[in-house]
Amino acid sequence: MKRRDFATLSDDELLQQLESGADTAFIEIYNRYWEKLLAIGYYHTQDKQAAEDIVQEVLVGLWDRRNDLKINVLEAYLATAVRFAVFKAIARDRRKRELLAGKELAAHSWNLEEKLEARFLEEYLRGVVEQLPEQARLVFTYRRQEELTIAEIAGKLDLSPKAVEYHMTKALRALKQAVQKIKLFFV
Amino acid sequence: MTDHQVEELIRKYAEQTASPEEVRRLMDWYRLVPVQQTPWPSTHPDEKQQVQHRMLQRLRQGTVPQKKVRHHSWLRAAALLILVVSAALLVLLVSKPFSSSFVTVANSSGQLRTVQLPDGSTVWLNAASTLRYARAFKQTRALELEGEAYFDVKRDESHPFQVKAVGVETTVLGTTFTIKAYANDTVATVSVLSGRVKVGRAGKELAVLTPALQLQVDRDGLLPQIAKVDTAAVVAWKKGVLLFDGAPLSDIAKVLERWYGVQIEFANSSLQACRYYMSFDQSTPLEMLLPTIAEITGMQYRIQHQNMVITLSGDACR
Repeated sequence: MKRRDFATLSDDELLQQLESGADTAFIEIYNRYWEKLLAIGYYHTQDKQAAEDIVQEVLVGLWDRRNDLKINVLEAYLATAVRFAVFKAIARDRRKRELLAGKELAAHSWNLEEKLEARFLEEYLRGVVEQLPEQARLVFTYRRQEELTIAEIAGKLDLSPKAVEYHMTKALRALKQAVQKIKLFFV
Repeated sequence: MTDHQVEELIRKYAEQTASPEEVRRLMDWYRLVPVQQTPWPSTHPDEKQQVQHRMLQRLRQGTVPQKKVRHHSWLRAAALLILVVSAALLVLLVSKPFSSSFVTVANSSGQLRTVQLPDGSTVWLNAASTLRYARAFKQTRALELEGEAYFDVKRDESHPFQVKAVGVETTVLGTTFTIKAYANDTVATVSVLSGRVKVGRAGKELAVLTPALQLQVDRDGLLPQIAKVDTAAVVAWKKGVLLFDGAPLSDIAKVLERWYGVQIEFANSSLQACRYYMSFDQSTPLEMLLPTIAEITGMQYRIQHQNMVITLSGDACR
Protein backbone atom coordinates (compact mmCIF):
# COMPACT_ATOMS: atom_id res chain seq x y z
CA MET A 1 0.00 0.00 0.00
CA LYS A 2 1.30 3.44 -0.89
CA ARG A 3 1.78 5.97 1.87
CA ARG A 4 -0.82 8.40 0.54
CA ASP A 5 -3.52 5.71 0.65
CA PHE A 6 -3.24 5.49 4.42
CA ALA A 7 -4.61 8.98 4.85
CA THR A 8 -7.98 7.81 3.55
CA LEU A 9 -8.31 4.87 5.96
CA SER A 10 -10.61 4.96 8.97
CA ASP A 11 -9.16 4.59 12.47
CA ASP A 12 -10.42 1.00 12.57
CA GLU A 13 -8.70 0.13 9.33
CA LEU A 14 -5.51 1.78 10.55
CA LEU A 15 -5.64 -0.34 13.69
CA GLN A 16 -5.87 -3.49 11.60
CA GLN A 17 -2.89 -2.41 9.55
CA LEU A 18 -1.00 -1.56 12.71
CA GLU A 19 -1.61 -4.98 14.20
CA SER A 20 -0.11 -6.56 11.14
CA GLY A 21 2.94 -4.41 11.77
CA ALA A 22 2.52 -1.70 9.15
CA ASP A 23 4.74 1.17 10.22
CA THR A 24 3.06 3.41 7.67
CA ALA A 25 -0.20 2.95 9.57
CA PHE A 26 1.63 4.00 12.70
CA ILE A 27 2.94 7.17 11.05
CA GLU A 28 -0.56 7.99 9.83
CA ILE A 29 -1.91 7.58 13.37
CA TYR A 30 0.82 9.93 14.51
CA ASN A 31 -0.11 12.49 11.85
CA ARG A 32 -3.73 12.28 12.84
CA TYR A 33 -3.33 12.68 16.59
CA TRP A 34 -0.03 14.36 17.44
CA GLU A 35 -1.42 17.87 17.68
CA LYS A 36 -4.33 16.94 19.91
CA LEU A 37 -2.13 14.87 22.22
CA LEU A 38 0.47 17.63 22.38
CA ALA A 39 -2.17 20.22 23.30
CA ILE A 40 -3.52 18.02 26.10
CA GLY A 41 -0.02 17.36 27.40
CA TYR A 42 0.89 21.02 27.33
CA TYR A 43 -2.33 22.22 28.92
CA HIS A 44 -1.82 20.04 31.96
CA THR A 45 1.90 20.40 32.44
CA GLN A 46 2.50 23.92 31.05
CA ASP A 47 5.85 22.55 29.95
CA LYS A 48 6.75 22.11 26.30
CA GLN A 49 9.33 19.40 26.85
CA ALA A 50 6.99 17.45 29.12
CA ALA A 51 4.25 17.74 26.49
CA GLU A 52 6.54 16.28 23.84
CA ASP A 53 7.53 13.46 26.14
CA ILE A 54 3.89 12.69 26.81
CA VAL A 55 3.09 12.36 23.10
CA GLN A 56 6.16 10.19 22.73
CA GLU A 57 5.17 7.93 25.59
CA VAL A 58 1.61 7.48 24.33
CA LEU A 59 2.67 6.59 20.80
CA VAL A 60 5.60 4.39 21.74
CA GLY A 61 3.19 2.59 24.07
CA LEU A 62 0.76 2.07 21.22
CA TRP A 63 3.51 0.67 19.01
CA ASP A 64 4.92 -1.61 21.69
CA ARG A 65 1.52 -3.05 22.48
CA ARG A 66 0.19 -3.25 18.95
CA ASN A 67 0.18 -7.04 19.09
CA ASP A 68 -0.62 -7.48 22.75
CA LEU A 69 -3.61 -5.29 23.34
CA LYS A 70 -6.76 -5.76 21.39
CA ILE A 71 -7.55 -2.12 20.86
CA ASN A 72 -11.15 -1.61 19.90
CA VAL A 73 -11.44 2.11 19.50
CA LEU A 74 -8.24 3.96 18.75
CA GLU A 75 -9.43 7.31 20.00
CA ALA A 76 -10.62 5.87 23.30
CA TYR A 77 -7.33 4.07 23.82
CA LEU A 78 -5.34 7.21 23.10
CA ALA A 79 -7.54 9.30 25.38
CA THR A 80 -6.92 6.92 28.29
CA ALA A 81 -3.23 6.61 27.46
CA VAL A 82 -2.66 10.36 27.35
CA ARG A 83 -4.48 10.85 30.64
CA PHE A 84 -2.18 8.42 32.37
CA ALA A 85 0.87 9.87 30.64
CA VAL A 86 -0.14 13.29 32.03
CA PHE A 87 -0.55 11.84 35.52
CA LYS A 88 2.84 10.18 35.26
CA ALA A 89 4.49 13.38 34.05
CA ILE A 90 3.05 15.23 37.05
CA ALA A 91 4.21 12.52 39.45
CA ARG A 92 7.66 12.52 37.84
CA ASP A 93 7.93 16.30 38.06
CA ARG A 94 6.98 16.23 41.72
CA ARG A 95 9.59 13.61 42.50
CA LYS A 96 12.24 15.63 40.70
CA ARG A 97 11.36 18.77 42.64
CA GLU A 98 11.45 16.91 45.93
CA LEU A 99 14.81 15.40 45.05
CA LEU A 100 16.20 18.81 44.12
CA ALA A 101 14.90 20.31 47.33
CA GLY A 102 16.84 17.61 49.13
CA LYS A 103 13.67 16.25 50.66
CA GLU A 104 13.65 12.76 52.01
CA LEU A 105 11.48 10.86 49.57
CA ALA A 106 8.56 8.97 50.92
CA ALA A 107 8.74 5.31 49.95
CA HIS A 108 5.73 5.67 47.69
CA SER A 109 7.21 8.37 45.45
CA TRP A 110 9.55 5.92 43.79
CA ASN A 111 7.14 3.57 42.12
CA LEU A 112 4.23 5.91 41.57
CA GLU A 113 4.76 5.86 37.82
CA GLU A 114 4.78 2.09 37.78
CA LYS A 115 1.55 2.04 39.74
CA LEU A 116 -0.01 4.48 37.32
CA GLU A 117 1.01 2.26 34.44
CA ALA A 118 -0.66 -0.70 36.15
CA ARG A 119 -3.80 1.37 36.71
CA PHE A 120 -3.80 2.34 33.05
CA LEU A 121 -3.83 -1.29 31.94
CA GLU A 122 -6.40 -2.14 34.55
CA GLU A 123 -8.66 0.65 33.40
CA TYR A 124 -8.21 -0.38 29.83
CA LEU A 125 -9.19 -3.93 30.71
CA ARG A 126 -12.16 -2.70 32.64
CA GLY A 127 -13.31 -1.14 29.40
CA VAL A 128 -13.05 -4.57 27.83
CA VAL A 129 -15.14 -6.06 30.65
CA GLU A 130 -17.79 -3.44 30.12
CA GLN A 131 -18.14 -4.46 26.52
CA LEU A 132 -18.83 -8.09 27.43
CA PRO A 133 -22.35 -9.47 27.00
CA GLU A 134 -24.55 -8.67 30.03
CA GLN A 135 -24.45 -12.10 31.70
CA ALA A 136 -20.73 -12.60 31.24
CA ARG A 137 -20.03 -9.12 32.58
CA LEU A 138 -22.18 -9.69 35.68
CA VAL A 139 -20.66 -13.07 36.41
CA PHE A 140 -17.14 -11.69 36.05
CA THR A 141 -17.82 -8.68 38.27
CA TYR A 142 -19.45 -10.78 41.00
CA ARG A 143 -16.61 -13.26 40.92
CA ARG A 144 -13.64 -10.93 40.76
CA GLN A 145 -14.77 -7.77 42.43
CA GLU A 146 -17.22 -9.02 45.00
CA GLU A 147 -15.55 -12.40 45.33
CA LEU A 148 -18.75 -14.37 45.37
CA THR A 149 -18.63 -18.13 44.92
CA ILE A 150 -20.02 -19.81 41.81
CA ALA A 151 -22.96 -21.05 43.85
CA GLU A 152 -23.70 -17.59 45.21
CA ILE A 153 -23.60 -16.07 41.75
CA ALA A 154 -25.83 -18.86 40.42
CA GLY A 155 -28.36 -18.04 43.15
CA LYS A 156 -28.17 -14.33 42.49
CA LEU A 157 -28.60 -14.54 38.75
CA ASP A 158 -30.95 -17.51 38.81
CA LEU A 159 -28.62 -19.58 36.66
CA SER A 160 -27.23 -23.08 36.97
CA PRO A 161 -23.63 -23.30 38.28
CA LYS A 162 -22.67 -24.74 34.90
CA ALA A 163 -24.04 -21.67 33.14
CA VAL A 164 -22.14 -19.41 35.53
CA GLU A 165 -18.93 -21.24 34.70
CA TYR A 166 -19.70 -20.94 31.03
CA HIS A 167 -20.10 -17.16 31.29
CA MET A 168 -16.99 -16.89 33.42
CA THR A 169 -14.98 -18.79 30.81
CA LYS A 170 -16.35 -16.52 28.14
CA ALA A 171 -15.37 -13.39 30.06
CA LEU A 172 -11.90 -14.71 30.77
CA ARG A 173 -11.39 -15.65 27.16
CA ALA A 174 -12.29 -12.13 26.04
CA LEU A 175 -9.88 -10.68 28.56
CA LYS A 176 -7.11 -13.03 27.62
CA GLN A 177 -7.58 -12.05 24.04
CA ALA A 178 -7.36 -8.45 25.09
CA VAL A 179 -4.01 -8.89 26.75
CA GLN A 180 -2.82 -11.81 24.68
CA LYS A 181 0.84 -11.91 25.43
CA ILE A 182 1.26 -9.77 28.49
CA LYS A 183 0.62 -11.62 31.68
CA LEU A 184 -1.14 -9.27 33.97
CA PHE A 185 -2.11 -9.11 37.56
CA PHE A 186 -5.70 -9.06 36.50
CA VAL A 187 -6.57 -12.39 34.94
CA MET B 1 -7.32 23.03 42.75
CA THR B 2 -3.71 23.84 43.50
CA ASP B 3 -0.83 21.92 41.94
CA HIS B 4 -0.16 20.33 45.27
CA GLN B 5 -3.75 19.08 45.57
CA VAL B 6 -3.59 17.61 42.08
CA GLU B 7 -0.32 15.86 42.90
CA GLU B 8 -1.77 14.42 46.08
CA LEU B 9 -4.87 13.17 44.26
CA ILE B 10 -2.73 11.52 41.60
CA ARG B 11 -0.66 9.82 44.27
CA LYS B 12 -3.78 8.52 46.03
CA TYR B 13 -5.28 7.45 42.73
CA ALA B 14 -2.14 5.50 41.82
CA GLU B 15 -2.07 3.82 45.20
CA GLN B 16 -5.80 3.05 45.06
CA THR B 17 -6.42 4.93 48.28
CA ALA B 18 -8.50 7.72 46.77
CA SER B 19 -12.16 7.88 47.75
CA PRO B 20 -14.72 7.84 44.92
CA GLU B 21 -15.25 11.54 45.58
CA GLU B 22 -11.52 12.21 45.19
CA VAL B 23 -11.34 10.20 41.99
CA ARG B 24 -14.25 12.24 40.64
CA ARG B 25 -12.48 15.51 41.54
CA LEU B 26 -9.31 14.39 39.82
CA MET B 27 -11.17 13.35 36.67
CA ASP B 28 -13.16 16.59 36.64
CA TRP B 29 -9.93 18.54 36.89
CA TYR B 30 -8.47 16.54 34.04
CA ARG B 31 -11.48 16.78 31.77
CA LEU B 32 -11.85 20.50 32.20
CA VAL B 33 -9.67 21.09 29.16
CA PRO B 34 -10.23 23.96 26.83
CA VAL B 35 -7.56 22.30 24.68
CA GLN B 36 -8.44 24.32 21.60
CA GLN B 37 -7.80 27.51 23.54
CA THR B 38 -4.35 26.42 24.66
CA PRO B 39 -1.96 27.84 22.13
CA TRP B 40 1.53 26.42 21.83
CA PRO B 41 3.77 29.26 23.02
CA SER B 42 6.09 29.50 20.04
CA THR B 43 9.24 31.52 20.18
CA HIS B 44 9.39 31.53 16.41
CA PRO B 45 6.84 30.84 13.67
CA ASP B 46 7.74 27.32 12.55
CA GLU B 47 8.53 25.98 15.99
CA LYS B 48 5.45 23.82 16.08
CA GLN B 49 6.30 22.31 12.75
CA GLN B 50 9.74 21.53 14.12
CA VAL B 51 8.19 19.89 17.15
CA GLN B 52 5.98 17.76 14.92
CA HIS B 53 9.02 16.83 12.95
CA ARG B 54 11.30 16.12 15.86
CA MET B 55 8.74 13.88 17.52
CA LEU B 56 8.27 11.92 14.33
CA GLN B 57 12.03 11.46 14.03
CA ARG B 58 12.24 10.23 17.58
CA LEU B 59 9.35 7.85 17.04
CA ARG B 60 10.91 6.50 13.87
CA GLN B 61 14.14 5.85 15.71
CA GLY B 62 12.49 4.34 18.72
CA THR B 63 9.80 2.20 17.16
CA VAL B 64 9.68 1.63 13.47
CA PRO B 65 12.44 -0.62 12.23
CA GLN B 66 14.99 1.26 10.15
CA LYS B 67 14.32 -0.39 6.86
CA LYS B 68 14.53 2.22 4.18
CA VAL B 69 15.75 -0.11 1.49
CA ARG B 70 14.69 -3.54 0.41
CA HIS B 71 17.39 -6.13 0.61
CA HIS B 72 18.08 -9.10 -1.55
CA SER B 73 17.04 -12.29 0.09
CA TRP B 74 20.67 -13.40 0.25
CA LEU B 75 21.53 -10.05 1.78
CA ARG B 76 18.84 -10.61 4.30
CA ALA B 77 20.20 -14.06 5.03
CA ALA B 78 23.69 -12.59 5.38
CA ALA B 79 22.37 -9.87 7.67
CA LEU B 80 20.62 -12.49 9.77
CA LEU B 81 23.79 -14.51 9.98
CA ILE B 82 25.74 -11.44 11.08
CA LEU B 83 23.05 -10.73 13.62
CA VAL B 84 23.21 -14.24 15.03
CA VAL B 85 27.00 -14.22 15.12
CA SER B 86 27.16 -10.81 16.74
CA ALA B 87 24.51 -11.79 19.26
CA ALA B 88 26.58 -14.84 20.10
CA LEU B 89 29.70 -12.68 20.37
CA LEU B 90 27.83 -10.24 22.54
CA VAL B 91 26.79 -13.03 24.88
CA LEU B 92 30.39 -14.21 25.00
CA LEU B 93 31.68 -10.71 25.64
CA VAL B 94 29.12 -9.87 28.25
CA SER B 95 29.71 -13.10 30.10
CA LYS B 96 33.38 -12.20 30.48
CA PRO B 97 33.56 -9.97 33.52
CA PHE B 98 36.38 -7.73 32.31
CA SER B 99 34.65 -6.90 29.03
CA SER B 100 31.43 -5.77 30.57
CA SER B 101 33.15 -2.72 31.99
CA PHE B 102 32.94 -1.15 28.52
CA VAL B 103 29.89 0.26 26.85
CA THR B 104 29.56 0.20 23.07
CA VAL B 105 26.91 2.28 21.34
CA ALA B 106 26.50 1.67 17.62
CA ASN B 107 24.18 3.52 15.24
CA SER B 108 23.04 2.03 11.98
CA SER B 109 22.30 4.15 8.95
CA GLY B 110 19.56 6.71 9.34
CA GLN B 111 19.96 6.81 13.09
CA LEU B 112 20.94 9.58 15.50
CA ARG B 113 21.33 9.05 19.19
CA THR B 114 22.40 10.96 22.28
CA VAL B 115 24.53 9.15 24.82
CA GLN B 116 24.84 10.22 28.44
CA LEU B 117 28.30 9.51 29.77
CA PRO B 118 29.01 8.58 33.40
CA ASP B 119 30.69 11.97 34.04
CA GLY B 120 27.61 13.95 32.95
CA SER B 121 28.90 14.75 29.46
CA THR B 122 26.64 14.21 26.45
CA VAL B 123 27.50 12.78 23.05
CA TRP B 124 25.37 13.04 19.90
CA LEU B 125 26.24 10.09 17.72
CA ASN B 126 25.63 10.38 13.98
CA ALA B 127 24.48 7.57 11.66
CA ALA B 128 26.78 4.60 10.95
CA SER B 129 28.98 5.49 13.93
CA THR B 130 30.22 3.61 16.97
CA LEU B 131 31.27 4.92 20.37
CA ARG B 132 33.04 2.90 23.06
CA TYR B 133 33.85 3.96 26.60
CA ALA B 134 34.45 2.59 30.07
CA ARG B 135 31.39 2.14 32.24
CA ALA B 136 33.29 3.87 35.04
CA PHE B 137 35.87 6.46 34.01
CA LYS B 138 39.34 6.27 35.57
CA GLN B 139 41.92 9.05 35.76
CA THR B 140 41.35 9.82 32.08
CA ARG B 141 37.87 9.92 30.58
CA ALA B 142 38.86 7.75 27.62
CA LEU B 143 36.59 7.05 24.63
CA GLU B 144 36.93 5.52 21.20
CA LEU B 145 35.00 6.70 18.17
CA GLU B 146 34.52 5.41 14.67
CA GLY B 147 32.37 7.78 12.69
CA GLU B 148 30.97 11.19 13.59
CA ALA B 149 29.95 12.61 16.95
CA TYR B 150 29.37 15.87 18.75
CA PHE B 151 30.71 16.08 22.30
CA ASP B 152 29.44 18.36 25.02
CA VAL B 153 32.00 17.73 27.75
CA LYS B 154 31.43 18.51 31.38
CA ARG B 155 34.33 20.50 32.80
CA ASP B 156 36.62 18.49 35.06
CA GLU B 157 40.20 19.75 35.09
CA SER B 158 41.56 16.79 37.00
CA HIS B 159 40.14 14.20 34.59
CA PRO B 160 41.08 14.90 30.97
CA PHE B 161 38.51 13.79 28.40
CA GLN B 162 40.20 11.96 25.54
CA VAL B 163 38.70 10.60 22.33
CA LYS B 164 40.65 8.29 20.06
CA ALA B 165 39.43 8.14 16.47
CA VAL B 166 41.36 6.57 13.59
CA GLY B 167 44.59 7.23 15.46
CA VAL B 168 43.78 10.87 16.18
CA GLU B 169 43.73 11.72 19.87
CA THR B 170 41.60 14.66 20.96
CA THR B 171 42.01 15.84 24.53
CA VAL B 172 39.88 18.43 26.34
CA LEU B 173 38.95 19.44 29.84
CA GLY B 174 35.46 20.80 29.20
CA THR B 175 34.32 22.03 25.79
CA THR B 176 32.03 21.34 22.86
CA PHE B 177 33.51 19.92 19.69
CA THR B 178 32.84 17.43 16.90
CA ILE B 179 34.93 14.68 15.42
CA LYS B 180 34.35 13.16 12.02
CA ALA B 181 36.49 10.08 11.54
CA TYR B 182 34.96 7.37 9.39
CA ALA B 183 37.17 4.44 8.51
CA ASN B 184 36.45 4.86 4.79
CA ASP B 185 37.16 8.60 4.66
CA THR B 186 40.57 9.83 3.55
CA VAL B 187 40.66 12.56 6.17
CA ALA B 188 39.48 12.97 9.74
CA THR B 189 38.34 16.34 11.10
CA VAL B 190 38.07 17.85 14.58
CA SER B 191 35.99 21.07 14.86
CA VAL B 192 35.65 23.20 17.95
CA LEU B 193 32.52 25.05 19.03
CA SER B 194 33.64 26.24 22.43
CA GLY B 195 36.68 26.00 24.66
CA ARG B 196 40.15 24.69 23.82
CA VAL B 197 40.88 21.35 22.24
CA LYS B 198 44.22 19.61 21.94
CA VAL B 199 44.68 17.19 19.05
CA GLY B 200 47.56 14.79 18.77
CA ARG B 201 48.65 11.60 17.10
CA ALA B 202 50.78 8.82 18.53
CA GLY B 203 51.55 11.00 21.56
CA LYS B 204 52.70 13.92 19.40
CA GLU B 205 50.78 17.18 19.52
CA LEU B 206 49.33 18.28 16.18
CA ALA B 207 47.43 21.42 17.15
CA VAL B 208 45.57 23.29 19.86
CA LEU B 209 42.26 24.48 18.50
CA THR B 210 40.00 27.33 19.60
CA PRO B 211 36.34 27.94 18.60
CA ALA B 212 35.36 27.93 14.92
CA LEU B 213 38.59 26.21 13.92
CA GLN B 214 38.78 22.85 12.25
CA LEU B 215 41.74 20.52 11.97
CA GLN B 216 41.96 18.18 9.03
CA VAL B 217 44.28 15.20 9.26
CA ASP B 218 44.85 12.64 6.56
CA ARG B 219 45.53 8.97 7.02
CA ASP B 220 49.25 9.26 7.74
CA GLY B 221 48.84 12.25 10.00
CA LEU B 222 51.03 14.24 7.66
CA LEU B 223 50.31 17.85 6.80
CA PRO B 224 47.57 18.63 9.29
CA GLN B 225 45.60 21.65 8.10
CA ILE B 226 43.73 24.18 10.17
CA ALA B 227 40.88 26.18 8.67
CA LYS B 228 38.07 28.43 9.87
CA VAL B 229 34.65 26.74 9.73
CA ASP B 230 31.01 27.66 10.03
CA THR B 231 30.19 25.84 13.26
CA ALA B 232 26.45 25.80 12.54
CA ALA B 233 27.13 23.84 9.35
CA VAL B 234 29.42 21.41 11.16
CA VAL B 235 26.67 20.38 13.56
CA ALA B 236 23.69 20.64 11.16
CA TRP B 237 23.34 16.83 11.19
CA LYS B 238 22.60 16.94 14.89
CA LYS B 239 19.63 19.21 14.20
CA GLY B 240 18.10 16.93 11.60
CA VAL B 241 19.58 18.52 8.49
CA LEU B 242 21.77 17.08 5.77
CA LEU B 243 23.68 20.24 4.91
CA PHE B 244 26.24 20.55 2.14
CA ASP B 245 28.05 23.84 2.11
CA GLY B 246 30.03 23.74 -1.08
CA ALA B 247 31.04 20.14 -0.47
CA PRO B 248 32.47 17.93 -3.22
CA LEU B 249 30.02 15.38 -4.54
CA SER B 250 32.24 12.57 -3.22
CA ASP B 251 31.62 13.86 0.34
CA ILE B 252 27.91 14.38 -0.31
CA ALA B 253 27.65 10.80 -1.58
CA LYS B 254 29.33 9.45 1.58
CA VAL B 255 26.90 11.30 3.85
CA LEU B 256 23.93 10.03 1.84
CA GLU B 257 25.30 6.48 1.87
CA ARG B 258 25.54 6.55 5.65
CA TRP B 259 22.19 8.14 6.17
CA TYR B 260 20.18 6.03 3.73
CA GLY B 261 22.20 2.84 3.97
CA VAL B 262 22.80 2.68 0.21
CA GLN B 263 25.81 2.62 -2.06
CA ILE B 264 26.43 5.49 -4.47
CA GLU B 265 28.60 5.04 -7.53
CA PHE B 266 29.81 7.40 -10.21
CA ALA B 267 29.71 6.50 -13.89
CA ASN B 268 32.35 9.18 -14.47
CA SER B 269 34.79 9.72 -11.60
CA SER B 270 35.50 13.35 -12.52
CA LEU B 271 32.01 14.17 -11.25
CA GLN B 272 33.12 13.48 -7.69
CA ALA B 273 34.99 16.76 -7.49
CA CYS B 274 31.96 18.93 -8.40
CA ARG B 275 30.96 21.11 -5.46
CA TYR B 276 27.39 21.93 -4.48
CA TYR B 277 25.37 23.86 -1.95
CA MET B 278 22.27 22.01 -0.86
CA SER B 279 20.38 21.06 2.23
CA PHE B 280 17.75 18.45 2.99
CA ASP B 281 15.75 17.45 5.95
CA GLN B 282 16.89 14.10 7.33
CA SER B 283 13.35 12.80 7.04
CA THR B 284 13.28 13.34 3.26
CA PRO B 285 12.73 9.95 1.63
CA LEU B 286 15.51 8.95 -0.75
CA GLU B 287 13.06 8.68 -3.62
CA MET B 288 12.26 12.37 -3.20
CA LEU B 289 15.83 13.45 -2.63
CA LEU B 290 17.31 11.86 -5.76
CA PRO B 291 15.22 13.84 -8.29
CA THR B 292 16.18 17.07 -6.47
CA ILE B 293 19.87 16.20 -6.63
CA ALA B 294 19.50 15.35 -10.31
CA GLU B 295 17.92 18.74 -10.89
CA ILE B 296 20.61 20.66 -9.01
CA THR B 297 23.53 18.82 -10.57
CA GLY B 298 22.09 18.18 -14.01
CA MET B 299 23.06 14.54 -13.63
CA GLN B 300 21.06 11.38 -14.17
CA TYR B 301 20.63 8.67 -11.60
CA ARG B 302 19.86 5.00 -11.88
CA ILE B 303 18.66 2.79 -9.05
CA GLN B 304 19.73 -0.84 -9.15
CA HIS B 305 19.87 -3.94 -7.03
CA GLN B 306 16.55 -3.32 -5.34
CA ASN B 307 17.38 0.24 -4.28
CA MET B 308 20.76 -0.71 -2.86
CA VAL B 309 23.01 0.87 -5.48
CA ILE B 310 22.58 4.29 -7.03
CA THR B 311 24.66 5.31 -10.01
CA LEU B 312 25.11 8.98 -10.89
CA SER B 313 26.08 9.89 -14.42
CA GLY B 314 26.63 13.09 -16.36
CA ASP B 315 29.12 14.91 -18.52
CA ALA B 316 30.60 17.61 -16.35
CA CYS B 317 30.13 19.74 -13.26
CA ARG B 318 27.35 22.27 -13.30
